[in-house]
Amino acid sequence: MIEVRSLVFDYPGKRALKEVSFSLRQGSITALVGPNGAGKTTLLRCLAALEEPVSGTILLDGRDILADPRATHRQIGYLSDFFGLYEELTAQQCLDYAALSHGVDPETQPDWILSCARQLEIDGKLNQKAGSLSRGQRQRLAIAQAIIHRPRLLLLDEPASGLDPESRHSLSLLFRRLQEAGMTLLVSSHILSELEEYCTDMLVLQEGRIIDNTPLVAREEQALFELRVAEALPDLENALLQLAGVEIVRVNQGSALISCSSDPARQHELLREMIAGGLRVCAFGQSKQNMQDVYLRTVQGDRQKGVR
Amino acid sequence: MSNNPEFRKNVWLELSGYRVIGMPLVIGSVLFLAYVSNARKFGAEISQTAGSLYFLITVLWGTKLAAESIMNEIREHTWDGQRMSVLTPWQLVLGKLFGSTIYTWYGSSICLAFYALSVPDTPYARILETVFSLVFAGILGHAVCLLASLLSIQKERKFVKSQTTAILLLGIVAVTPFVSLVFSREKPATWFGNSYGGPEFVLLSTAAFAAWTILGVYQLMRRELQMKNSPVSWFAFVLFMMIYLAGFLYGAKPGAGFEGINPAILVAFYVPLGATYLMAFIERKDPVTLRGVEQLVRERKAGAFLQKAPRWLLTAPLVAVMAVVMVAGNASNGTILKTAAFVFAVLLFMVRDLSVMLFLNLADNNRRAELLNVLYLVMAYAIVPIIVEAVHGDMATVLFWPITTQPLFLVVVAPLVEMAAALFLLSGRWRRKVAAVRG
Repeated sequence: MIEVRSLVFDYPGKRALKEVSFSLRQGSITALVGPNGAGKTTLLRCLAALEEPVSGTILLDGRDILADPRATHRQIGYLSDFFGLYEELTAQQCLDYAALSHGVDPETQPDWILSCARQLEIDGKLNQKAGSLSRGQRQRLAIAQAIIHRPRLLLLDEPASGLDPESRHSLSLLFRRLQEAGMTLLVSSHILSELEEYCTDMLVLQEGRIIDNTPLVAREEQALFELRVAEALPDLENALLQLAGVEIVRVNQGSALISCSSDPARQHELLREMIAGGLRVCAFGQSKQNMQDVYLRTVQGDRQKGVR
Repeated sequence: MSNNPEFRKNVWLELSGYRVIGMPLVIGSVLFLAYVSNARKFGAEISQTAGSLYFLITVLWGTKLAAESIMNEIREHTWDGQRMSVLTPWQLVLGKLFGSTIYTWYGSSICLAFYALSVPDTPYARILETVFSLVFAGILGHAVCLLASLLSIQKERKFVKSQTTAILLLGIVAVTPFVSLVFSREKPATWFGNSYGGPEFVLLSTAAFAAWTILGVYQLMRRELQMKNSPVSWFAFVLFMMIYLAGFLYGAKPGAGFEGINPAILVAFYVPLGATYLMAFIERKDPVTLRGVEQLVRERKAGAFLQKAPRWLLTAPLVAVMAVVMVAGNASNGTILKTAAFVFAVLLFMVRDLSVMLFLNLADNNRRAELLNVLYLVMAYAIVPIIVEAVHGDMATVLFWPITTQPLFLVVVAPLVEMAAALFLLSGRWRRKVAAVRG
């Protein structure tokens, strides 16, 4: 669907994206996560052909979007983190303008607008001015504008920021519906627990580099384990690093959260190795894996590599 | 135009029911007041008042709306949505040019109608010329605002209220001379030795400048939409300005200090020179842009280079071409050495100034680089030379001005040394900057 190769983007005095390469599967919902300043918004803007990178290629279904940005805008929808609406227009006029300016056929336009408004649950607000809508309704209207032309790829930058829990939940349901309708979504957010509800893939960006791009389903072959030792051990981290197939998520002198194979036989083997190695294990149990842990594990693992 | 979504959106925003009713009521009241205060005569007073109202509505108010049309999109974060649309550059340009100002055109058309009906003792053809000249002047002012807005956001994508005010003032400054010419142009214009009727010349000039400005807006809009732009329109505009301005000095006698140089050719030489300096101020000069251009040169991508190179960089060689033309034009009249020294010194000063401007822009803290550039030019060409001249006499002025009354050797060597020093400073900073970004 989307293939990015060796993307480099510079701001004056700073390289924001460093040889970024990854691909997105058709019909996936990918979480784009990373610390502040990692380059997430820059990457989304490059994908939306709003910024021109120094070098690299972005292919949308094999077509280079940098070679002809205007042609690909028909297939891409983008919601910026600081989206704007024409406050003095009604929601209906906002959607009319979005549809017309995205080349929606005037004959099908009323149906598309109505169906989009229903999908976003703003069909009852179409005659209200955008400026009079609540934060959640404005967010929905902005998303409706971004998908009015039924894009194949939807890029969303912090779409849930400022929304209450109920609105966030319905946003999650909406993203799933869009995915079921065949759309591919790339969602940048800091709220990992929420991304977990609907994301199928995770793309971790750190200091302008992609450090992980694995489908989340594959992670189920791994499991997280909470480990406790009977007495504080200053060298616990080093001891765990000696064990094959173990990744440390977090560690202190008395406990650790580690990632290892979800195979019970391998877990048994691992426990035996730890005890044989002199670790006074008093608790070893599976911990619920969540995106937060996966993210932290990835980011910290990358930092450890950097230190070494 | 009604099929243009951008125009339609602006109509929705600008033309509400109350506003549509309000405008004729206000204009009608003012004109009625003029009618009553002029012994109920429908004549000169009414036409003058209608003309003044036109100026107020189109020039002052309309330029404000035009100046805000793009800057407000930036402020309200709707600009990216427009850039992501499939609207063509022409749809956006015309939709904004005539859509954002639609309400003022609504009022202006009422004023122009009253003006045309009430102006006394004037043939219909002359009235039509005046009306069209005023319309073109209004369009010119609005287009200048759009042009300045696009240049501003392409340099730095942010909304600053004072910038919008500056753009508005620029629009007013651009249009006011044309409007005043429309109302005071009975004198014929002499152009390339031929005499033309004043009103006709003003009408054609205003229309031409409006058309060039709209073409400029179109080119910038294309760039904003990530479309490729060839430099043909830019060169055509520079050429037009060279010919247009040269026409006024055709056949004029050379000025003091420029003996033997045809004033028309001299002004045609100054046009690309001025355009180079102007664009060097306006365009981006950050390391990313410059490195992109450098990369295209290294890769010998001539087509992409012409599309992406800053216009000042492309115009500078045109100054050199005009320098050769000027020297060649003087080959037979005995002042060739003087002319050659003059144009060569001008070229060296130009390279020096461009190097200094780039040097200041490549500084780590370059937030006030453009202000420093202005300060530098004022110091280099005005304050320091005057002080030095007062202290050391005339000869020292060769350090600052291309003055051919001094020994010709010094006229060339002085800027040559200065240019070399400026290039040395620039290359050092450039290498450091590139190394920093590459990490």
